[in-house]
Amino acid sequence: MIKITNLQKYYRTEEVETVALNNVNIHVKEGEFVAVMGPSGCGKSTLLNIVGLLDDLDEGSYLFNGTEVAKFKESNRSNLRKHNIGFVFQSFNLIDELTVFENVELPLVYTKVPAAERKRRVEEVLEKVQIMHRRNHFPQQLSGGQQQRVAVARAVVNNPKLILADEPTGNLDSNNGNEVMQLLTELNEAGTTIVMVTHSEHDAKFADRVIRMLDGQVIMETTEVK
Amino acid sequence: MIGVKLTFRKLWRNRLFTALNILGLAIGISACWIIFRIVHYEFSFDKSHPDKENIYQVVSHTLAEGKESSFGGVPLSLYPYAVETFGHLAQIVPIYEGGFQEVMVDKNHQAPLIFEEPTAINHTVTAYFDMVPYQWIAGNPKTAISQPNQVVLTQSRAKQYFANTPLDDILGKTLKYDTILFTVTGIVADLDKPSSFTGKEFMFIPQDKQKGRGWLERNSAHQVFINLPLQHKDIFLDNINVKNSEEGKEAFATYNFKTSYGLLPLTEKHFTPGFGSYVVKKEIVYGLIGVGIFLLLLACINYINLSTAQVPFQAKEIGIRKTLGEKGFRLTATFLWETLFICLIALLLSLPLVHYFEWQFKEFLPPNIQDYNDWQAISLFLIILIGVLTLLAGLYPAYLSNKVNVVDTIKVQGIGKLSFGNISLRKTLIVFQFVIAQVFVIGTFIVSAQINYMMNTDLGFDKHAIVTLGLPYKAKHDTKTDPLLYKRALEQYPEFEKISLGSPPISDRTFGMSITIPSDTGETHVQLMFKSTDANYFDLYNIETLAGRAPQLSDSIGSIFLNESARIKSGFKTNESAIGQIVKGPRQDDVRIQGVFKDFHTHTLRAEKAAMALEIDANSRRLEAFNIKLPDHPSQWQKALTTMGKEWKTVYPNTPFDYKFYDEKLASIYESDMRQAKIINLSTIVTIILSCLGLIGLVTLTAFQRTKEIGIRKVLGSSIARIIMLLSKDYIKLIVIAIIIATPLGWWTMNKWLEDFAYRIDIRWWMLLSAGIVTVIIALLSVSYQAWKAARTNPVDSLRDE
Repeated sequence: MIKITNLQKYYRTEEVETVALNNVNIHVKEGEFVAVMGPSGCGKSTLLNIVGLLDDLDEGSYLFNGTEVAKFKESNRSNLRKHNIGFVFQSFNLIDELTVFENVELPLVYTKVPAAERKRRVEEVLEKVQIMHRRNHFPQQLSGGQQQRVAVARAVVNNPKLILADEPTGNLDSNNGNEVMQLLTELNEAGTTIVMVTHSEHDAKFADRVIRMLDGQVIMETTEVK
Repeated sequence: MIGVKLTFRKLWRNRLFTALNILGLAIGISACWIIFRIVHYEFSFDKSHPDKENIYQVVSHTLAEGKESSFGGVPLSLYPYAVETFGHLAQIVPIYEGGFQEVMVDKNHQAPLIFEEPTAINHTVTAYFDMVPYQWIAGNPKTAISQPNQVVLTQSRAKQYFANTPLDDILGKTLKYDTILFTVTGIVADLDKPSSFTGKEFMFIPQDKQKGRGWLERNSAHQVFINLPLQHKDIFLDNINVKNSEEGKEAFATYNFKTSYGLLPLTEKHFTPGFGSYVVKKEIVYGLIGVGIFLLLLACINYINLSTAQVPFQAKEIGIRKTLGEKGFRLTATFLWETLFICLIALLLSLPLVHYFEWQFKEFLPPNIQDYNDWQAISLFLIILIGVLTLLAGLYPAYLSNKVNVVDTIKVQGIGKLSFGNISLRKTLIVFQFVIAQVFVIGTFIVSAQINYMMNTDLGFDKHAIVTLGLPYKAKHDTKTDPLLYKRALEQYPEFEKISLGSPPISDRTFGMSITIPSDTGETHVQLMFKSTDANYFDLYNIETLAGRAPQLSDSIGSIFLNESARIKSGFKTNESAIGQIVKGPRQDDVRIQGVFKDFHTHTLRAEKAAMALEIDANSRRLEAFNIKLPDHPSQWQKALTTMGKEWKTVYPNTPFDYKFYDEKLASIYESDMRQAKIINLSTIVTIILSCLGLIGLVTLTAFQRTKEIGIRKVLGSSIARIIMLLSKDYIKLIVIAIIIATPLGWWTMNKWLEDFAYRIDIRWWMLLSAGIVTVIIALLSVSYQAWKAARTNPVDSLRDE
């Protein structure tokens, strides 16, 4: 599903050029659950942003479902993103002024799903993440775990083929963290491909495969035995 | 729908900013609205006349002592001559102003309705209705004023006279103008577009004005309009001027002056001062348009400042929306929708604001503008205005939000790295705004100081506890009664110590006449202002005699009193040397100068004290009023006034008892100055509010950008006060720069304004300084709230996630 070859990414300021990612090669098959690990600043979030088409790459090739997307314009990327990719962030990134229901509904608005259909799908996914009873609350009124469940619901409401999770349990206690990981595992079992950046060895155990990075390079790949 | 909800909730969460934005825009919109109405009104004048290109007013020019002057009056002889010569070529229409003391509307079995001193009465001819396009509601335009004692009313005037009578039934009713009965023979609809033709009642020309009395006597109440094809224009003028030269030949030679006639096109009339009717200078109208555009720009700048200051707060939301696939166009649309929404609320708010202004500052609006509310034009203007505002104010913030980098916003909470437009440009705008504001603040200070000075200056006479009562002057009142009767009647009461007949020191009615002083080389004529009083006048008004003696009863024949300026103007070296001199009075009789008194103010402080002669006069027509000193203690006034009223009814049974406290009347002569002060105060408030709104926007933005710095400083031990200082310092610098630029500007402007006053304050350095301090304090207050908020942020929050 994702095939990245010889990826180079630089950060430039007026005086220095930093190599963020250096000659990265990654292959993720459909239905896989991949964890990316490494110390702070090793480039794992940058990699995730590039995979999620939020950031562009400087050199190399990126095949998404067989299509070369490395040179895509913003509008094409935006289209690809909203139909195929769901995001889960460490800091949840829910919109404070929208209710739980409206936050989850937003991606469906952008993909122009009719209102009745939207309502059905949002309710369905809210049931799934067990937050239906809080549908009319605002994000600030929820606990961290509940907020992340809403974020996961928002990520999956469009039935994306790929979910990108950036330290999804980073701001949660272990109970809530486990719940979210459970949720991701269930989604993966239902067929969704998941790429997750994490610091936590515990969370990494939920993945099929772990990619370890250091200083912008992939140094090791291990396949976990569950 | 989600977009709309998001907008509402966002605006509500940022209530303060939303309110500031709405307020700023509402002020801008209101100002533009009012200015548009005025400009539209002024430019609509006379535009609706079908033949406007061919209509002219005949105006006269005078050349005397090398100076040329013009005015709108013509001799009565001009009209009959013009008709005789050009009647077959042109429409010629005289419009002579009619003056009546009252109009009486007869009410069956009830007391008649009386309207005092009716205005806008035109004596004219039937051709008037061919020239000016009226819509006739009742009556026949060809015959309605073909005879004497017929009157045509406009609908509004008819409603005023016959409130509840249907228009059709008014035809044939009678109105009594003073002593003459007129029959209503026509009713026309009021002109629905502004026009220089402002008559409301039309009658035939009275007998005594049908024939002229030569070509020399001209009166601004007598105007003539013509409607003639362009090719006849020159012939008409030449002919009239040749006739005028013949008729005036002798007088022109003897008195060394010359008159001539010209034509003022109707299309120019409204913008040409000096020829009668309400006019306005084109420069003023263009100036107003400039002010409107300027205020609109100020409002836009503020909106942009305030809403771009909000972008950092919204960056996360924008980032998320972009991540979820929202496109740039949609984001722009959201911003424009938000701006439009705020503009619409501001428009709603400006509705009461405009009404408040039009009610409170009626006298600053052109007269009669209320009669012409062209809603179609106003609505169209407002729609365009809101559209332009939305685009001007909404596009830049939208552009900035489109530039928000998704990766930065979803990851980073500190906003310091994000760039949000050009700060120094905005600083320049703030300085610019405050320069304008400061000029107004200086204006407020100086104007109120000058008014305070005028209200409290010693006028040279006593004005406390003096009541004035005008002598009757209307035919139906008791004009024949000897005023001494009333004076005597009051003198019997002990509470009236001082009563004097005479023209009050500052009065609308002044007489200019000359005295003739014998000199070695012959005679000198000295033009003086004359006042007529009785002998008690000096005592009552506490006027100081400098030489000679105060007036006595016996001075009613052969005596004259001069003030010091008149003594100097007459060429007497000292006050004492003038006493006993015999001069020729205005009626060529010999009079002796019996006293010289100290100058007192005879006009507002705008004018110099006049050189004045005072005559003790027995002629009640020139005495003008009773001046009555009430007992010193106000508790006794009510009783005194009741007594005065009672005696008045006895002596003047047919005249209303209409007294005025003289000090109140004097205060009212400064009404127009007070109004001017009011509008300057209002402008000051508006510009200060607009400027502070912009300032708050800028402070919010920079405080946000320095969040991290503030956090670090606090961790290192800085106090909240120091941080407030740190944040405020930069802005106060800007304000001080603005004040430094504005001060000479304001000083110069206000000095120009003060030049209109003969007696005025000096602008002192401390006035300018206090004006500056006031502005700095206001600016500091608006800055410090945001600075305080930023200073109080917990550094743990601002430093986390970096």
